Amino acid sequence: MDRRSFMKMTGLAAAGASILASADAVAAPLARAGIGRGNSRLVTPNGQALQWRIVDGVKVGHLVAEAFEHEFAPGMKAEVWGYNGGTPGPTIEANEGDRVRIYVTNKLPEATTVHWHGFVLPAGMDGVAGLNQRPIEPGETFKYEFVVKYPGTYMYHSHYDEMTQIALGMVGMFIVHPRVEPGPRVDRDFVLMAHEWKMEAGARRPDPNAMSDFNVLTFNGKAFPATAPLVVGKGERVRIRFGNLGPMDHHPIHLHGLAFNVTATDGGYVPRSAQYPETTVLVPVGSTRVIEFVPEEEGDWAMHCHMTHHVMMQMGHGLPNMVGADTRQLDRRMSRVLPAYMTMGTKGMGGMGEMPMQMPPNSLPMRGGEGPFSYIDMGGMFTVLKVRKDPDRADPNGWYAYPRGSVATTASADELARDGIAT
Amino acid sequence: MKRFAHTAIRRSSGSLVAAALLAAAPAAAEGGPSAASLDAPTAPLPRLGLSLETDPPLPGESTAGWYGLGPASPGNALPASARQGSGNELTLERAVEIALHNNGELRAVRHELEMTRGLQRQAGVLPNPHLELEGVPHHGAAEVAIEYPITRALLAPFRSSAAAAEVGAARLRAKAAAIRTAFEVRSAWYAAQAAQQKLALSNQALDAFVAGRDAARALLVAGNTIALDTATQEAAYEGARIRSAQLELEYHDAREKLHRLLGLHGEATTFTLPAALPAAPAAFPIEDEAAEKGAIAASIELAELQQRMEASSSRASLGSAAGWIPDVSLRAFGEREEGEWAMGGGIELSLPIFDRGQGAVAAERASLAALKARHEALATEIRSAARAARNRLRIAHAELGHYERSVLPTRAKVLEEAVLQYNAMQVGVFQLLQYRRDQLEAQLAHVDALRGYWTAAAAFEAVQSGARVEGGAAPSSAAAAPSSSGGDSH
Ligand SMILES: [Cu+2]
Repeated sequence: MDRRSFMKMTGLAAAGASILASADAVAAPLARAGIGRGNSRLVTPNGQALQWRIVDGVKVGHLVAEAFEHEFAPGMKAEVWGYNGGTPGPTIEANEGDRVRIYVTNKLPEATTVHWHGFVLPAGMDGVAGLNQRPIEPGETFKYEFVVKYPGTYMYHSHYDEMTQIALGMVGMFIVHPRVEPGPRVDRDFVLMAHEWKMEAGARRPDPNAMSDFNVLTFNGKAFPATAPLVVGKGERVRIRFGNLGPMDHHPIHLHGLAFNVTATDGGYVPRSAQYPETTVLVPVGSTRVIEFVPEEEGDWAMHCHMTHHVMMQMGHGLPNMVGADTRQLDRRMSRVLPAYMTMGTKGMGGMGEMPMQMPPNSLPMRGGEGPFSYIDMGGMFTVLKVRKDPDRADPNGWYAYPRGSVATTASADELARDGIAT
Repeated sequence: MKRFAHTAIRRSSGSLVAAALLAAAPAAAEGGPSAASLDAPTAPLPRLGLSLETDPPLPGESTAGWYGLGPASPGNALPASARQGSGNELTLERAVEIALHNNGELRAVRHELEMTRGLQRQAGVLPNPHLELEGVPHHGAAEVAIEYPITRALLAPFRSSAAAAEVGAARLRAKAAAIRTAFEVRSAWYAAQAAQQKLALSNQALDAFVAGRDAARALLVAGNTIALDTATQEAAYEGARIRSAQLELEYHDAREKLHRLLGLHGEATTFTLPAALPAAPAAFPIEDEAAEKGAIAASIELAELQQRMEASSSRASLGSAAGWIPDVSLRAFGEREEGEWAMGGGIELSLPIFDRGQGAVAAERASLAALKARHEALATEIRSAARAARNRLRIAHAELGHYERSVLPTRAKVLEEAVLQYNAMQVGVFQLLQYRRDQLEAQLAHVDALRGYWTAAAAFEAVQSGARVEGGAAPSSAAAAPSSSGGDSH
């Protein structure tokens, strides 16, 4: 155990003691901490953790299925369904062998259930409406109780009218820490849940009927630039647990500047002998993938789904292809037919997000975010891994300070001449 | 005029009354165009079929002849040649004046009125005395006799007043003809103006079609689309060119009808019409009870029947009285025989024993009864016509209001939102153009509704001014409402 981990553990022990002393204490720090046992602290960027109450040694939690307004990114809000005011719902965290008792109150306009995705548990607790239980009607509160037998990265979601309820956000992550870590201890442990939504530009509710053309792609319910960056230390061991309960799409998540191993899925741990290095991991619908890596280069590193349409915001997909079209005559005509018209896309679409055009309300078409050098014309399933020397003191919103001469820039005439490059 | 709540209608109704007065006052058209003659100079024919000859001009190119494509203002529907201000613009009121002065039918009616006036004078003149001269020159014998029909002379004023009723009836017929002419001028005016506006809108739609074609061609040249999509856009444009040509003809047909009604030819027909039909009053300007009462009170047909009843009644009275009066003639004579004049006199009278004009009087009375029956039937018809005219106007007003309060704003909203969606790259240029064309279709239908309203208003007004007219219902715009279709190509 290195010094940093030791410091964390001792702090946690103190916090745990004081909380246990009060039966009514709200145990948020416990959830974040993974309740000792040598686990590092689990972070759900942009998210929250389920609060436990310990009753006779049983972890008691409460999920409220409800509708609320959720912001995907500044400028775009939506009426979604989720748990405890969040989508994804709170990250549930327990330890191998814990008995958990989770109450589910249904405040939705229709029935629901909760399925504990990936868990080995009594069939009556599995939550499939009709098969394992009757649906939880609006206004009812059900009780699920089981022992979490095996450690792993799991999920939970509605298993009633899934098409609607999952599309509207009824999903969450459920992490079970092992008694004994099978691999090296990690310094950072993140949870990122992928999701996809269809929001017409200007609409206020995701379309649950969508089967393709999803246009808002999120990590933990947020689209870039609203995704919180992941700040890690150079040389630290970092774990990211990806989950995907989006309606239709698998996401090849790509990390820049490093390689990682997939160390676990929701089926369990990948034996060390079976792990191999990757820079992109495909996270299929209904699966979790856990990756671990040690970054060796400081900097701001892109981390995103590699499907190009998944790093766009609300781009229409039925548009005529304008690239390379000579529209001079059209533009002249349009100046009389529709003076508000402006031809777009004939030279490509970069910079569209920066155009000061009037947009439908509550929409972020083509939007990305500000970057340290220029506008980052990606949105959606995109975030930044910030590798710092001293991550705990680094400003999570700050950009990496590049050493002089380490950034690609215009080639000088001398350099071109020296290397025999004709332009 | 209390029944009209709106000044526009009141004003034009007033002008109708004036028009009726003008029927007998040719001075009103002083300086106006003269009636046609056989060898009159001809006016240049308009250049037609422009939309079939060339593509709509690009902005910056000459828009001569292209209604609706002139630079700037959306209401600008005048051809370039007419854009030198309102110098040559004809107003509706002036058009009605000209028609009342020039219209051949009206002139004939006025001559007929003069004719009945002549007949009236004739009925009132005193009979001439009869003079008889006889003589045998070689014998110096001569005879002079003067005879005068006293009874006829005494009855002359009565005959004249009976004829005066006929003059009144003729005057009323002239007034009715003036009202009908004024209505026809209005109706034709609105038709021409509507056609002009529709042509302008059709050309604007054509402009949107040709933009779609240009976009499709640009995409085909760039290798971004397939020939099918480009052909689809071209086919849509080529089809749209026909409609502009048809509306061009509709406009010129409507104008020619107007020229005929105004009795104009040659240079006098080069006037321009205001670019847009006037807006209708926001509130429905007619009180419900007013329609029937006003039409009955003003009805010229009823008044004319009334006059004829009076004439018939006085003829019956006259006939009845005259039947009992002996036909008296006074006679004076002188006879010269052998240089001596001998004077004498006499009286001649018929004895009204057998012929007292009984048959004629009975016929006149029957005629009067027939007129009374006809009067009652006519009143019923006029009530119904007034209600029908009011109903048409009511629906026309409601329909127009619906266009202005709902159809046009929602269409404008569609386009506004479509532009936002276009900016957001959710819809493409073809779909955007389709929304623009949908809006223009709605505007086109609105022009029909506007014309329908003003035509119905003119017909209602004519009924309220005393004359029933045909053609108070302009063609409905309902069929012209566009289907809401999105763009179908990309
Ligand atoms: Cu993806």
